[in-house]
Amino acid sequence: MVNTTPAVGRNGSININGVEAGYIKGVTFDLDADVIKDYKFTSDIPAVLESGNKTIKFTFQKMFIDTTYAALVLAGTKMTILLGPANCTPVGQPKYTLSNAIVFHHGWRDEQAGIVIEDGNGEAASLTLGTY
Amino acid sequence: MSGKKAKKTPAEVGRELFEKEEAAEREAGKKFDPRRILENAREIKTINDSVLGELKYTPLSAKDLWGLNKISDEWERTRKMISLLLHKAYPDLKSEKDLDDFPAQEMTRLCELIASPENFFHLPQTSTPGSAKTKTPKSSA
Repeated sequence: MVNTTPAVGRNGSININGVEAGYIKGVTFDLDADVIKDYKFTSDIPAVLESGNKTIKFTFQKMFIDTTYAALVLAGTKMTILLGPANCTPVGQPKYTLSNAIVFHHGWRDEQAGIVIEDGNGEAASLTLGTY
Repeated sequence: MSGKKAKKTPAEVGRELFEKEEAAEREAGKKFDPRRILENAREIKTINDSVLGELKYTPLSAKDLWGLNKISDEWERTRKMISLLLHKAYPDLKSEKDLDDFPAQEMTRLCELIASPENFFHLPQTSTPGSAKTKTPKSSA
């Protein structure tokens, strides 16, 4: 298994079907990948060493979802999470995109404009690194 | 009207909501809370000292301070204070007499630690709002 170093304290926006639906705070990532390894006879060096099936997990401190999209998120609708370092998104800063993400929430509360999920975690199908 | 405010995006609404909540939490953290103070007083705390290593202790209570105030002999008072600080974290140190067999070097270091309020007592530096007035030397002219 391979673990990345968690990037602590990233904040960003949440998109559902290409429309901004909320805000997320304090995101950390954890990437696990299966190791594919095989040996030939007469050799103790792996003939095949590859990174296999990947699991991209993330945790967050708080997530706000607009009322319009709250029911969708609670029902498990996939979302895209765009993250920058500590709420800072100027040109050239690192940008992380978690695509097809789902959230396993640990309870939520109602706010006037939407819902807030706290100390939640989830998984995403892919993690793309880029720049703003 | 050109002055109409633009509607906030969901991300902006969420960010402002969390910022307000965090500001309220910071404010609540400043409030006097006797229960939290008592809980904090019962906790075993740790300091890392370059000579003694990891040292555990419990803060002195007001009762401890009143008791210490009655001891006139300075050495006796120091010995009692060290015992009160350490005995909950180290149950083998039942009384101040148990400290008498400590090597002088360690005992001296404990006395030095006690002498600096920031070690065991966590006394904050008091400051008044604004910068202090600086004394300017009087002109001889």
